[in-house]
Amino acid sequence: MEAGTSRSLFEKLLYLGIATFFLWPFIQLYSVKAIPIFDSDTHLRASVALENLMEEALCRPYEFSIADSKFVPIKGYEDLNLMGKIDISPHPTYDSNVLIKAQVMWGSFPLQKNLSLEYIGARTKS
Amino acid sequence: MIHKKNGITLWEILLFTVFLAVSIGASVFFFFINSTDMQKAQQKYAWVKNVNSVLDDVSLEIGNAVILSHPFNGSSKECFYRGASDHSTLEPESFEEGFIFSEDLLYYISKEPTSTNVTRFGKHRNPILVNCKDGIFNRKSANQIEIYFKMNSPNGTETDREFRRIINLRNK
Repeated sequence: MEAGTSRSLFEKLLYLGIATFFLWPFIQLYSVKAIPIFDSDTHLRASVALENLMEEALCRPYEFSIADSKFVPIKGYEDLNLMGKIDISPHPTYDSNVLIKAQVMWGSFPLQKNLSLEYIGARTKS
Repeated sequence: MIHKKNGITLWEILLFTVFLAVSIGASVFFFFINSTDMQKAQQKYAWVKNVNSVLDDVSLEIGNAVILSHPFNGSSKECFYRGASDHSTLEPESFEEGFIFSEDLLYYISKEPTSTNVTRFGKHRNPILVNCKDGIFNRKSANQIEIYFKMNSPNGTETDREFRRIINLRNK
């Protein structure tokens, strides 16, 4: 290549692609796991909020077809912008069970974090 | 086309600068990790984790209780229940276990007809939590109870941290 000429757009895109390819797993790692030195306390609080959300979900009578519900802010965690949602759906393989899934989410893309908890309940209450 | 190379080129300067920046950044980062602030943060983390593990065990115990007798409604500083024994049978009615907030301490106690014992709670020694203020058990509904209290961290980095657990009473 001639000295002084700059890279073409295609080459720049290629570099960006390679960089993304290398860095993306680390971003994914960040999104599932707390890095203890940065984010431990937030993570702990979020996990407690998740447990509370699940317990609340278990307390109320099962309401079917609230799969794909929306994330709503959780009271008391406004400083984290913590959002939570509960999905209750019939178990995919066992008719007599329901799958209860609680999820909390905080941060913004791409540094977003998700924690989820699943529970199988018997379908005795309808 | 052959260029005569004289001295240091722009690319070499750039590369050198990048390496220099990385090494300075790394050393700053390691100083930061070793700092007292970071140590305090880690102590706080360990403390919160410990309190939460106690709360996990308490929640599990209350959640799996066969009958939660107190608080029946409203809120109380005490919580009494009849636990399940190992063989899915009920303990005698005269035997009750419970948790009480007393003088900023959380105790696990077991009541028998003749005595009230302050014994160990699983792996936790009594009092199972120290320095918890405004501790309360709040019966929110027939099958839901909430534990709430505030604590100050032992190294003074955080005051009045709120701990709140909602427990689903599974055997309602």
